[in-house]
Amino acid sequence: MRPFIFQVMVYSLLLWLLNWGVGNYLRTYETKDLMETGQFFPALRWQEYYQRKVPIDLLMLGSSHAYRSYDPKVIGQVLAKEDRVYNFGSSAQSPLISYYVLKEILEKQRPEQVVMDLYYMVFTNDNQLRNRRYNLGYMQASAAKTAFFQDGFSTEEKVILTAFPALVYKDYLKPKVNKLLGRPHLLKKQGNYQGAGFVSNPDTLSIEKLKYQNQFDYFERETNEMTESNFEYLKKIKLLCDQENISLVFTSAPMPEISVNKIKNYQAFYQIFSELAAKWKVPYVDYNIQRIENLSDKDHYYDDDHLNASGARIFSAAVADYLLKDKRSSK
Amino acid sequence: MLFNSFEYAIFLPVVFLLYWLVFTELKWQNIFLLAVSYLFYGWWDYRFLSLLIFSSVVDFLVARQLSRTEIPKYRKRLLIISLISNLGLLAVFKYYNFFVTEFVIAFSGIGIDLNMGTLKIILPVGISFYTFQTLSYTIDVFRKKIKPVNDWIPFFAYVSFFPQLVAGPIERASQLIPQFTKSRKFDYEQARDGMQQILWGLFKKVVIADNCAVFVNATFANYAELDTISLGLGAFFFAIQIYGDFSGYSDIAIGTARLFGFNLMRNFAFPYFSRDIAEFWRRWHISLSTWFRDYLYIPLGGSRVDSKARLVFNVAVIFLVSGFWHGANWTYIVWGGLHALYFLPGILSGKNRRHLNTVAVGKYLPTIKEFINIVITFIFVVIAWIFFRAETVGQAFDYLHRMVTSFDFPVRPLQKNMILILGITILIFVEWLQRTKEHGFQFEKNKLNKPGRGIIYLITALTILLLAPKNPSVFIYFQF
Repeated sequence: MRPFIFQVMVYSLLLWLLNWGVGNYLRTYETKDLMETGQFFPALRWQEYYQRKVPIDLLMLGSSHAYRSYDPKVIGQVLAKEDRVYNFGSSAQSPLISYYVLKEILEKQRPEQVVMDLYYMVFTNDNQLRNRRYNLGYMQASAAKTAFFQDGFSTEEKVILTAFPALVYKDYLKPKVNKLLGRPHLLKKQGNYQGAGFVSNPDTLSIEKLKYQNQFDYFERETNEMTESNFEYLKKIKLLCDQENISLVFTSAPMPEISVNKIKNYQAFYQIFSELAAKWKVPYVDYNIQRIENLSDKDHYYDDDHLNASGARIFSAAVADYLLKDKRSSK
Repeated sequence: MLFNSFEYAIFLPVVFLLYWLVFTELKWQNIFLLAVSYLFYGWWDYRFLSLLIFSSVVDFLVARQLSRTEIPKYRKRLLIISLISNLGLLAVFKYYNFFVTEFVIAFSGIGIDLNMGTLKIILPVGISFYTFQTLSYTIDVFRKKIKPVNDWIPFFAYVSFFPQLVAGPIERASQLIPQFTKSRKFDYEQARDGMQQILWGLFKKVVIADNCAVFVNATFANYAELDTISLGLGAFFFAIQIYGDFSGYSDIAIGTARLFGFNLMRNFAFPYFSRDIAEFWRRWHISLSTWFRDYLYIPLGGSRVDSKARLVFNVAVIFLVSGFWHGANWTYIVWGGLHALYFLPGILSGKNRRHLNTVAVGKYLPTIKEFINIVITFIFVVIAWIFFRAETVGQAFDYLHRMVTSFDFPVRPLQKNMILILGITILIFVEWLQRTKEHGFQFEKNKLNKPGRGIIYLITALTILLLAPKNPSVFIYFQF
């Protein structure tokens, strides 16, 4: 039996080494290929954050709706806090991710206010390893990072992240092969990184596409799909802000009106968030309910879900006005 | 627990080491195998363990009683108890809702509204497999082909043996129970071959079948908007998917059993290299085909009957029942019916046993005639698979209709799936070269040296890591 076990161990070791080499080579698609062309936003966001010297007064958290809608420059100008606003939204950022991002920020910073964008979709899924890894992978070693790894990942995910880079980065196999073959290998550019975490996209989606090629035509999410753990982590964010004396505001960035109208139960999602905000005494504005007049479906969205560059400017000015009024009224 | 899951990657080595290093006595090895088999099954849903235990208890007691009496009437009653118990489980959990729905539809057609409720139950994984396995034991004891086992542990371990519990091969008691009652010694060659078979099975399941599934699911969901090429490719990929999925499962099951010193029966023998339908059925899901042959077809008279009408009837019964065994849906029955139609010309003309050997033995390529026969047989099989995969019979006909009328031949679906097509080509190439062996990775030492084999194993394992879908998918045959 010993020769058999020895042989299995030798093969396992060789396979593990192979996985290590190939996995780390594939990882360079993220760390080199995409980074060099300014396309890998999570890494750019964390890199800039760790290099900055200026304190952060206002922090944005949330999904792609957050990092594509809240322009720190515009908001900073209105609030007279230029360079002190930072957007830490990231793709499909669930409250769990937001919580640990906030914990990491609090290791070195003391923002006065946190604006948390609430997008119902991220409340229906705890399961997106990639989006959690995007943040974990680019955080520097800290207590918050360790706690994120402990709490935010299953045993299986921990094993994969620690020992199996080939599994972690296997999505990059195709573009890497394309690169080796001299074919186009970079993703279609999804916007330009503008600094302070914000990404803008200058494109505009046609009304026809909004009407007839809209992902929300097939929208079937129900409110009961929102998971308990996401609400638990939202509560943790609220408690952490209370504990650190940080003012917390909930917002929902606007989507095209055509898309919102296709979501039959949007009002039910809104109801859940607004009741929660009222219960916790956190101000909440859903800009899909309180629509901003200057925003139009025709000009201000780059896809059926997100604002484009000019839409984000209009929206950011409106959010900044709201924050200003909220601050004055609370004084 | 799925073979292609993280849990199983922990479970298998732990069980393997404990089995050989800690539980060295036969009795303890059997008790341990029984315990881990129940753990394996209960991982999915522990409540359904009760059905597995019920089926085991009934057949163990019935067989013991059978050995104690020679009175034919009493023996028949005992057999009926076993049949009712096992087929009853299947009837309730698998077929009840189908029959209720069909009755209601049939009666509403003649203006009678029946108020019969369906059951809100899920189908216990593997129920069709282990009920057939225990039934074969009782029937063989009834026929006095085997003697009943006196010790309940080997019998319960035989019914629940985890490598083949949920999707076969459906083992015969005469083949497997003696392996539980004889002392087992670790055999290096057997274990090594088992590992190779597991690796090849994983490649077929994870790399080929699961990646085919992505295209197949999208194609069958949107078939009404697709063209000839996409629909043809969808049907072809499904044929590969179901083969990779099920034969992959069987390879992993047989390979795993070999690690524990057991030899399970072969379930697939490279069926897509068959030259006619009869040969296909000697090579596809062998454990089920032979089960139906021994316990249904032969008792009906088999092919040794006086009239051709009776022969047609026997063939039709065996294929329709085989279709229905797969699931409570007309699509499976039509699939079975189609295969009966394919099979009948051969058996009626006495040409169904023309191809008993492996195609082109000792040659690299088949003759043109053999090649044409293989392609034609494959096309017939693919057409039947469309019914098997479709949600309804109507959908299958629509799919076929569109496939031959939506004449458009875009190259995009082919280009988009080049890597998968390359993978399938490798699968076909390896299996063609290995078609006289038990499985794809059973290499001859004198034809491929050790470093060469090692490189193939490592590249295959790395490919599995890199091309596995994000979430392990369930084996298709778990639903049957």
